[in-house]
Amino acid sequence: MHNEIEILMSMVFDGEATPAEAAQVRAHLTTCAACSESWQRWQVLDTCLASAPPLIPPPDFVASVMARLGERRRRRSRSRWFGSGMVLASALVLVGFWLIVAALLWWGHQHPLEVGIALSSGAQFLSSLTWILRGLGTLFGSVDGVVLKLGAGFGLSLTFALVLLWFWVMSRSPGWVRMPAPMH
Amino acid sequence: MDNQELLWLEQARRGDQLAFGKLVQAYQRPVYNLAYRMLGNAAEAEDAAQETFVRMYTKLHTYQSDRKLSSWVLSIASHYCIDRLRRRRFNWLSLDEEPVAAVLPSGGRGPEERALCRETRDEVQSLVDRLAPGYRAPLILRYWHDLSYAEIAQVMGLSVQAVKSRLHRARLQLADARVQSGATLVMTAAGAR
Repeated sequence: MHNEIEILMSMVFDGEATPAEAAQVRAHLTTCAACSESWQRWQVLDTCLASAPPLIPPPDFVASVMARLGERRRRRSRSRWFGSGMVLASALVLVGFWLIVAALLWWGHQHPLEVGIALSSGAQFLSSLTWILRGLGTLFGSVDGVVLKLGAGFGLSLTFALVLLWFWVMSRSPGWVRMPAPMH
Repeated sequence: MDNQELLWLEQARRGDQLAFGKLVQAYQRPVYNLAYRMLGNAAEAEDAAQETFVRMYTKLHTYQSDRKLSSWVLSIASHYCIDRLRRRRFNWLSLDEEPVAAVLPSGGRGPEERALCRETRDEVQSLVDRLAPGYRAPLILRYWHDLSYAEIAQVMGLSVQAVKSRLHRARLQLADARVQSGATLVMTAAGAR
């Protein structure tokens, strides 16, 4: 009961109670000492809160907002260029890396197990590169989310394509499923 | 929202910086007041208010004209301040932080009146600082922005029932805190340090 009346009391203070609810509160206050005490405490609180003077922002506030907005726009533009550059550079590095690995393995007539290890290392390299990209992005301002997703998607597709290419090439080479000779 | 503000809004959406500056001019006071009451000091309030307008600018295209512009701006400000308060991670019931003096209207006030004004502001702020962010925002929107329950609900993304309940609990907590601390909270805050 007290809780319900207290909620109604709060609504009366906020001007949200209906006339019937306000009358119910008034009637209750004449009979309940505890609620009457709460009412008086809330009245003091209400006066205290309502008496707080309004605050005025600094005179150069608008200029500061506009300056911050300009700085944010410049940073976003820089980070977009930076992000695109990083994605392009990482794609080039990836292509180069995979081509070198493929060439070395092909000419060296390595076993498919070693190829697997090389592919795994390549995946690790890709993962490290993504983290480096993220780290640099944080350092130089946030890299645009779309650019990062596009870059990650491109890198992943490239990896899959190169893996498939490698297996296609290996499947055409004779004896590619042969296991290594047991060690004596 | 008046027609002039609607015009500025449309111009700002098309990239007109001057028009956006007019909107900042029009809403700087309510946003700064909300930020100050929420965060409790002038430096943080200014930073939060500026960030609110930057976010407003980046979200201009999401504003729907069936909503009051003031509610929308206050909504951005209150959510940002709540996030900021949650990041602070300290006990809301402590009185460790003394508000820094804010710029007050000084026209026509004598030194004594200004001192009294500052004392009242500090006392009220130390009271508000005791509340958790989720309770603080509805109280501020109710007392210093004169919003109805329905408007507070819209600004905070709550139900009217939740607003009613939070205001009730905020009053209970503040009244208790005020009695426990004594009438002069500024002195209590100094003693607690």
